[in-house]
Amino acid sequence: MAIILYDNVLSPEPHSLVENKGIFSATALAKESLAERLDTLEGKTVYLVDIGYGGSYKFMQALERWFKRNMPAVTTVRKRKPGSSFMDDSPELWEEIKAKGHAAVIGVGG
Amino acid sequence: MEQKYGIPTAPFTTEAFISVVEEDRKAGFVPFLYTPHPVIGMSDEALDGYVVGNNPDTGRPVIEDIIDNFTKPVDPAKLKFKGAVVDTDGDAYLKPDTEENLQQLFYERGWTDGLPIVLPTQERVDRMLAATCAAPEEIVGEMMRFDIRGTVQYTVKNVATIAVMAGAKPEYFPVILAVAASQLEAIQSSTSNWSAMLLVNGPIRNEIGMNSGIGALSPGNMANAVIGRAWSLMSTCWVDLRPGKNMWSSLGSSLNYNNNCCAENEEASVWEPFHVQKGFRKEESVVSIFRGWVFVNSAGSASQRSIGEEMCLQLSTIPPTNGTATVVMDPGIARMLKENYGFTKKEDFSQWLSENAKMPAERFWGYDHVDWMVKPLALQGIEPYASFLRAKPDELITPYFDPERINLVVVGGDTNPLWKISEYGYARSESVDKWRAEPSAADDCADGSCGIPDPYDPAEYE
Repeated sequence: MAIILYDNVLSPEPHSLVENKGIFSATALAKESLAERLDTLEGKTVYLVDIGYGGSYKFMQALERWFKRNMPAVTTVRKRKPGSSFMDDSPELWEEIKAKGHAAVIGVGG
Repeated sequence: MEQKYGIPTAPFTTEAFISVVEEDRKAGFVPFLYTPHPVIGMSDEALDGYVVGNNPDTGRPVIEDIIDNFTKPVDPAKLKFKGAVVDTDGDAYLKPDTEENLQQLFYERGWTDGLPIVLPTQERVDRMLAATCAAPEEIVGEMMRFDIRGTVQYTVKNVATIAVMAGAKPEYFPVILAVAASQLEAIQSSTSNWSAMLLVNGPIRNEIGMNSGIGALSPGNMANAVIGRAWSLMSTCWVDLRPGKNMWSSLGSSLNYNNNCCAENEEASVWEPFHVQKGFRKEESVVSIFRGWVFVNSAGSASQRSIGEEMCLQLSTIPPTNGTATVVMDPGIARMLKENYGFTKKEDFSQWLSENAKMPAERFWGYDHVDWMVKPLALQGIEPYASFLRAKPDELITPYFDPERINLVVVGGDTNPLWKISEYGYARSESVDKWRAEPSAADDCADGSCGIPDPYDPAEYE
């Protein structure tokens, strides 16, 4: 016969939980604030940014091959993101893309 | 890029991380695209296939999604942010039930390592709380929880609950509180196979019957087993670091069951105890934490080559991500190194290893972890990594260049002169004595904090 425990059993969950705090916290972005899209890719420069995570550079090479073969009017510039894959911002590279590029592929996490 | 620089962007991750994007306040509001998983390790031909193959999320060719991302308006309805749904019963009592049903509830809620736990009844938790001078509601620390992009705070009572669940005797509780005070997770929110080591030094080792001798890293000793287990239960119960939840380690690590918890064999060691190296007094009780990826046995003794040569051979095939290494050695090895090779202090042998553990530059840069974590430092001109990057492929470099990052610990029963070697980095040490119910003999200052050095930078891997 099963016996109900007399004593109270505590939940092991922690005292408090604070969302959106710490190193991965962020302000929610407004959906309307995305960049204006391009009318065409013809004649444009697409940056292929390898974030440094394993295999990323090979994926960007694959994209570069595809554009050269199938859309030669698109210029591709393949760059490795300086700094840590996850933690560092790279404003110099973003400024370069803004000045010289029109679109960017960034990846690949995982 | 989208919001600040006005550049249409196609950010990529693999299909394994769709749920992560859904919970992320930044990623969830940009038009993420997905490849099949994994990307790492795939051939050029396979990746060419990924480009023209389907996005697992949309079912359309990846390259078409890229072009559309750049040239067509993004449908806000397709952006993924949902936020994490977290249900917590912190500080609450559970509904009364039978022991069997409550064990099952703990299992189903993920409040266990898979083994049965001791149910944390109020009476058991109260007995645990009596083993510390700290108040039950005192905040011990906080840890980051990935799914909510936030933190959890935990009290002395929360730690006592975990200690009961792990099977701790009340006399272990100050050690478990010290582990909790480190604010470091035993299990990592990573796809890699992390593990860790808990080392206890000082009088508390013998007071609670820890094993520092024969089989110190084996099952069998209650204190070693339970203290190490408690640390992992903190990760699972507080930070929800469970497989497929906040932890994505592909293979996982059985070392996480008790995190190599052991005590240093100070009595048999010919060298200074580890905690004394870190600025504590010998009579203080201290817990120290090491973390990393690779933990390797020496299969046999160093009979045909010197101990140093054997260790350097092993280190030459371990990815030295942070230039860190930790050697856990039998007292016999320490004695030989001192008496036969003249290393009178641990620091002397750490220095020797730092100069003699070498590998070709090409091998170093060929390690995945080195490429994505160390190369950015080299590209910024940070030494010695910049020099390592300039080295010819077959040139021997010294990746364990900093002797202060090479930790030596003496553990074992002198039955065979063996060791375990790893690239574990030392994270930090915490005083046990400040958590005791009664001041220890070592506690001769008013605030209980004398002799405790500034915490070593815990962000070694972060």
